[in-house]
Amino acid sequence: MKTATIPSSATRPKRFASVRDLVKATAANDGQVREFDRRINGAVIVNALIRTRATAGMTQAGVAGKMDRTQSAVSKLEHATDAALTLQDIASYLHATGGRLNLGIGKQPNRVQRIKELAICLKGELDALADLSSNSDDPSIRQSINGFFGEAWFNLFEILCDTSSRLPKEPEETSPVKLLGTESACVIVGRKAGKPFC
Amino acid sequence: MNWQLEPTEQFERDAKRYAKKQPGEYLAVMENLEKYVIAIESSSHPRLVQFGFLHEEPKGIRAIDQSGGTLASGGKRGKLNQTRLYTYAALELRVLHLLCLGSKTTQAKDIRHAESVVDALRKESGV
Repeated sequence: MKTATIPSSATRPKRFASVRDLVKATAANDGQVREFDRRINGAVIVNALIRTRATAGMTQAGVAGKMDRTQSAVSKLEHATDAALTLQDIASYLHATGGRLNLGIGKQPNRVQRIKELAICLKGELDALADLSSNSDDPSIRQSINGFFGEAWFNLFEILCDTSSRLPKEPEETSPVKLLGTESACVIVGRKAGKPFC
Repeated sequence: MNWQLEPTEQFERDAKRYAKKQPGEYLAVMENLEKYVIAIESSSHPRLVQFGFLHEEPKGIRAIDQSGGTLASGGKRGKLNQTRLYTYAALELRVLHLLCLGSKTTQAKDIRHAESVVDALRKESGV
């Protein structure tokens, strides 16, 4: 027998932050929770693909049209496990939804190499943004890109200050952390005074 | 802000009963609910989200069925009974109300119940 009323605000049922929490609260046993986890963990890539379709506001039929496949094939793909996906499925789905696929093949880099690679990527992206700003006739675009550079500069500096402050101190040497900290303070003053960066 | 799930007491009772009596159907609809939540979190409006397992019902109610899916092991799911999980998305609060869970045979009654809960929710929020 279904009750037709909802509880009053005072006795409103609790909210759950995730479906997993809900399953944990309603499952008949731990085995069911584990099975749910197995299914979700087995579809991490599939769910990331679904996310790109939802972000693009596309239907399965729309994606199917761009992939040159049927809507039912796309539906099947979205219900598959990661293990059943092919690289071609992933690439073609992401091409259709405007999603991004990054694939790296090679020897596992160490942390320093990884940071250097990321720094090169970062420089490439910032160069492209700077070019966009220089070539744009729209003042609002130039203004937002300049603003972004200010924020990025500050955030990167803050990350460096924060992480380098965790390095062991060498008392006989000039501490780079201190210098960075001073520069960082200058940036804050500059921002508050409304002065441009760089 | 992420969407939150708010089950009614009726839903909690239904879900617990399904988990015990029809575990295959229970896990299948929960898996589809997970996909629906992932999609509405990335979408600008829940109405834009479309799946084969989603069914439009009156008053903005959307029902999630048990269809689709493979097991984590790669095998296909066995034949499952028709199951419907009735939801209502409150966009401004980013809350997905879980109204009730039932079978195809109780569908008419379940929809009536879901509608009455949505009426009460709308009245409460002044919509």
